[in-house]
Amino acid sequence: MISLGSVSVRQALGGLEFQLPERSSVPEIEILLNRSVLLGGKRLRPLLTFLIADCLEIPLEKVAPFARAAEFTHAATLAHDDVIDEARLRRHRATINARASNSRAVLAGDFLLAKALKEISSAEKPELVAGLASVLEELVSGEWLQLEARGITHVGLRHLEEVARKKTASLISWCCTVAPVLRGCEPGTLRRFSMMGEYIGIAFQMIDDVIDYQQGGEKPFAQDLREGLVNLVTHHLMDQNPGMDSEIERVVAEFRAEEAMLESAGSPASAPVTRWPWSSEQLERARETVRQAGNSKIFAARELWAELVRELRLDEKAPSVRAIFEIIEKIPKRTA
Amino acid sequence: MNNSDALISIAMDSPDLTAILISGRVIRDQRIFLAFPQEVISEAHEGSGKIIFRLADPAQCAHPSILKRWWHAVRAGGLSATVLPLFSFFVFGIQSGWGWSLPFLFTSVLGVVALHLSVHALSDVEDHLRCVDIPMRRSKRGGGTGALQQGWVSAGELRRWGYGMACFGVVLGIPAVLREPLILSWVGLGGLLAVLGYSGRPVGLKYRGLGDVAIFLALGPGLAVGFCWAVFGTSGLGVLELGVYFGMAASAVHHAGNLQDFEQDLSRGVSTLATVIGFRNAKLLMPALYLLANVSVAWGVWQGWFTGWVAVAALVLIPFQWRLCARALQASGPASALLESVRPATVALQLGMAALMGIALLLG
Repeated sequence: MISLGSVSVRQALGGLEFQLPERSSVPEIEILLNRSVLLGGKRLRPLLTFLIADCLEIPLEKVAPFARAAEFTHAATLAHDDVIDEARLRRHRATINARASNSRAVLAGDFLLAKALKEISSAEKPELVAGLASVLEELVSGEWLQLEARGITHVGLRHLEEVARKKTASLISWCCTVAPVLRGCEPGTLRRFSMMGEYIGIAFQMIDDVIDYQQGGEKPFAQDLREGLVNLVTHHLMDQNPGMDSEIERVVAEFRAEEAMLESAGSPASAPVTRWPWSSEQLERARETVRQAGNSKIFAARELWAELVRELRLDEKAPSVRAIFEIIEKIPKRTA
Repeated sequence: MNNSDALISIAMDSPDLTAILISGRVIRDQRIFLAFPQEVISEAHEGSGKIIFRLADPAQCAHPSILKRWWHAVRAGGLSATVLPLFSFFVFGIQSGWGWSLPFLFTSVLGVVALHLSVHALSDVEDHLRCVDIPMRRSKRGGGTGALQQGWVSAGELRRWGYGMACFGVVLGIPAVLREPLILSWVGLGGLLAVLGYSGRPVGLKYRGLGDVAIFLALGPGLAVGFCWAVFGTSGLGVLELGVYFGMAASAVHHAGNLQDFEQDLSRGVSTLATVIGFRNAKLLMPALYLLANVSVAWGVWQGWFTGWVAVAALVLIPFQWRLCARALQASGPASALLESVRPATVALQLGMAALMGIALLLG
């Protein structure tokens, strides 16, 4: 269990309300959101925001709007992602597009983004608002790049890392800069916080790719491949095993054909098990390669945090300082 | 140094860094480890930051045979991109009735091959020392040789090979230069500048927006004129046009790489033609290069330097060029998955263009 830092951080995170009040002019939107993307989740982004604020002695109520904005932004992207991926379930619950429709899911996501911007619109540091706007650009362009790559097996590491950077790391990176900006840290220090967040985000995504090939997880085995997407593990499977390219292409084509057939038949798309073209040894080798690459990112994040602790003369034994080290260390050990 | 498990970080301004990158080894606890660069934590200003290395016990690293290691390291498989155009130039000269010398043919071909191997090796070494090619950026499927990153050869060994090949190429060129000093001394100097200055400091043409020009001249008209003067003691506008054709093909390969590296080059302050003109215009440059190549052939046919077979060969390749360019034009950004297949396609197309041209010239 990850330590949540100091008592004040635990209280602040626990007290932060992520559910919408269901009092807007169209409360159905809020009801849909409250019962789907706003429910559950690891709350990593608000947690990092609070922990860093605690380390820098910024009053937590000052960063609370930013923490909430980050979580709303993340939830909005989940709502939109579910439409693009035609997902029916998220965290064992029906997605918005499954409960309502694609159009409503898109609108609900837009509503949440508006809420996120409203949270921080009166921020004393306009660069944080500009920063979140830039993050939104990155999120959209990352999703665009990924959409473009659907069905393409010749996908390089550069593309995969860029998608991870835009889709996952950009928002986490922003969260890590909120408290430093409020404190008025030097540009070099801000850059290090930003880079640390980026490394955390990319490592997080890399482990997600490893988990994607784990049996008995939250999502079906090889969910990315079912959606026609090559992730890091798939890339290394092809890189390490000559001839695997054509086999992976076959699998992707099979899934697409199955999906088209199931959709035209009117039943929910749940692709049956297909013959996987790799052995368990080959898969494990590819997963290990990605884990190793993730370790480098984790190492970099840890190095940067250690440098920041020294530079800002933070108390190494402070609960929030240790909690950030712990979050970094726990990323590769994730199983869900 | 700071270390954890098998990872260490070394500051960019550390005096040990260059030695570690060149040797590919680190001594730790009185044991020698292979050191593979994994990550560059770059700071706001040039030269600051850290590099993360993964350490591995040499005894536990599986390596292929020495022949296979060096074959990959020197990119021997890519020699056809130079040798095939030489074949075309030779056939053109024979068809034009130019007298030729076997010893000069032998030394010229070997010399060009040596210089080609040299520039590849030195470029890979320089990219390695600048940490451009770290494992997460390049895999075998991405076009990198991976030989340095996997520790098959060290940067120091490859650099010695590169300089050795450059010297060998120069020595092989001396007889031809002595025979035709007026032309070939300039061509030779230009070639040497391209080889040593392409990536080597302090010139570093490829990092200053001149890499594209260097590639075009060195693998196009420069190669054509230099080879013909060396082998035949003469040259002509026809072979120059052929050189333009092959030079454009080579430039397209280089440009495809620059398109992919666009954001990385921008962030590191590396100047290429792509970063100078912007990504959108850089995409348009791809079809422009192939168009210019085809126009040069059309001009050559119009002028009577080439036969109709050459025109047929150029026409046959147009659909492939178009398909490649369409892919590049559709790419939404440098990290687009669509660009991933463009670079290998430009390499294949370059070989195809060279091979078909050679056959067409033979038929003529």
